Amino acid sequence: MVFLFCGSCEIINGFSKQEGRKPVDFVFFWNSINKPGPLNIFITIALILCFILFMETLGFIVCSYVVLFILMWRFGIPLLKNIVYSAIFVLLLNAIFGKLFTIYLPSGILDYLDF
Amino acid sequence: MVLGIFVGGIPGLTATMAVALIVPLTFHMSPIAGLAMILGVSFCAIFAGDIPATYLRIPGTPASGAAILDGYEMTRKGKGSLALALDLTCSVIGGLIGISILIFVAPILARFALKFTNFEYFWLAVFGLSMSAVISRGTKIKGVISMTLGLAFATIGIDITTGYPRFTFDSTELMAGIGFIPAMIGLFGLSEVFKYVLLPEDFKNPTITEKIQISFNSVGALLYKFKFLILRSAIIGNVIGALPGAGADIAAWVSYGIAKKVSKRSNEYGTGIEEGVIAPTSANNSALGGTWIPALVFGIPGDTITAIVLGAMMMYGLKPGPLIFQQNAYLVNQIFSVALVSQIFLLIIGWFGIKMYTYLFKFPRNVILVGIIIFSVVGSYALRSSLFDVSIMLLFGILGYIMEICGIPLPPLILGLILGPMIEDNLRVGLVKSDGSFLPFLTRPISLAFFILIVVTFFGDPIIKAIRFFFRRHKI
Repeated sequence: MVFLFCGSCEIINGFSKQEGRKPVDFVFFWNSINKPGPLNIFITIALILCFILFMETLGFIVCSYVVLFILMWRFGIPLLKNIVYSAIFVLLLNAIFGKLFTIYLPSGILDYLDF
Repeated sequence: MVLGIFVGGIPGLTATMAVALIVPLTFHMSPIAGLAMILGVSFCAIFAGDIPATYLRIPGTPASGAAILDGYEMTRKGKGSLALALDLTCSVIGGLIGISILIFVAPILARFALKFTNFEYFWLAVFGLSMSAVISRGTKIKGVISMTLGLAFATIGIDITTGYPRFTFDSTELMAGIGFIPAMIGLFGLSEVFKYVLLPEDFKNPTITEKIQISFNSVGALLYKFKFLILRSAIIGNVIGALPGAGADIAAWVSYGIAKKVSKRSNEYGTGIEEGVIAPTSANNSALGGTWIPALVFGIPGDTITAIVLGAMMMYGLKPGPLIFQQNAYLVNQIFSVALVSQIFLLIIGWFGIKMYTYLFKFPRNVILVGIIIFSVVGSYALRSSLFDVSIMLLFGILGYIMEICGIPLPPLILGLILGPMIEDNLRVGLVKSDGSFLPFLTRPISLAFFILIVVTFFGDPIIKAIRFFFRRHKI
């Protein structure tokens, strides 16, 4: 009921403010999505979904490293810095959460290393 | 505190985000250590927001918005170092005044709150929710939409009274309801990152290249000269902070506005005068102390930071409310002591923080954003070692981003999520006590007072307009 009331109010408000309204332009919409910024948002969401799906199988270290590497690559960080920063981030997170606070972080395919 | 300085000083990253990110780390500490960490982070982040506000004209946190006006103008006049010194000292003094008020007022209010029954708590929670919806940025309607969304999310999980699962879709994870902390991390962490990701040309660059300095010359004399301004701004900030939903940002703007109105030099405000820096910076840190008053006394968050704190306290097994002053008096005293000590540390760490920012602003923003993304993911997972919480964080991140685009404020959603169970629980127990009658909700004095306050909150403007129209028409 509240949503219906608020929605109606917003629609009425929208119609009462005629100036500055633009028609829906789907070509413009596609062009704006196709830019690096919005694409990076979709990639970020997809990577977090991959993290959720594959963390148990691949393990925290591998999964986080891959996610970080792709994110940094997408965000334009040079390759060498990317490799170093990703490794530092993963080791730091593993040290803080896994070792210091003894939170269970799945080791996945690196199980044999006893890391 | 260092994290607070770090996050608060990066434009776009808020104090709420800093607290949301630090909370997962605190669950494995003792409650007081965790709360001390949260307090330190929040105070430092609010101060650090003034650094880019002064040098870049970009507020580090929303609470630094008002400090831009005169702080940046002072920098343009070559008095940036004095502005920063005033920022730091006024933040510390404002914080100390705010905490002192908290220490004296909270126990008195707690004694009064012991008289509250379910009827009063119901209206108090509804009042807190209404305030957040009305005060937040954007229209009242958008505030109500956000608040209702929060209430809707709060209904997910097992019904406390009947034990019946609601909106769980046979998912065992949803039986316990929506995880509050992952939702907060998503709303305030991930959604902020999404906003910055949209600006790829901008976010590769360092934030600033010039050297930032601080000078304490003549600060003492200025503080003495404007002692009443500091005191007044800190008190205003504290009172506004104590209103549910009104945080440090509103406190800073209101105290700046009042200082300008009252001042003999009101026409010089905005041109780079010291009063224009002192008023908002004293108020925003003092407001933090104010936000803890309703949080500790009634269990109602004063702003988004205390909303996270309440969630964290519940996970520590603590129940905020008037009884905490009796059952956990030792812990409450420890919180007060830590809050006072953190102000002294703010002076030292803030000074180092300003020095650090010359180097920190040179760090590319995209690396920091990637760090926040992975910390949000791991932080939400670490709470219960649950990947489901990561999904919740992601969903709320997307929702928060969409809400930001639509101009719908986020704080009412969070308050709805926290206060929803409190409202429902007290309404149901109250109805059971009164044999299904709604009358006691309106006939008890405190309940009635809260009800009138809620009506005034929502319909105050039209009522005043109608009265004025009536008087004008009848020429009274």
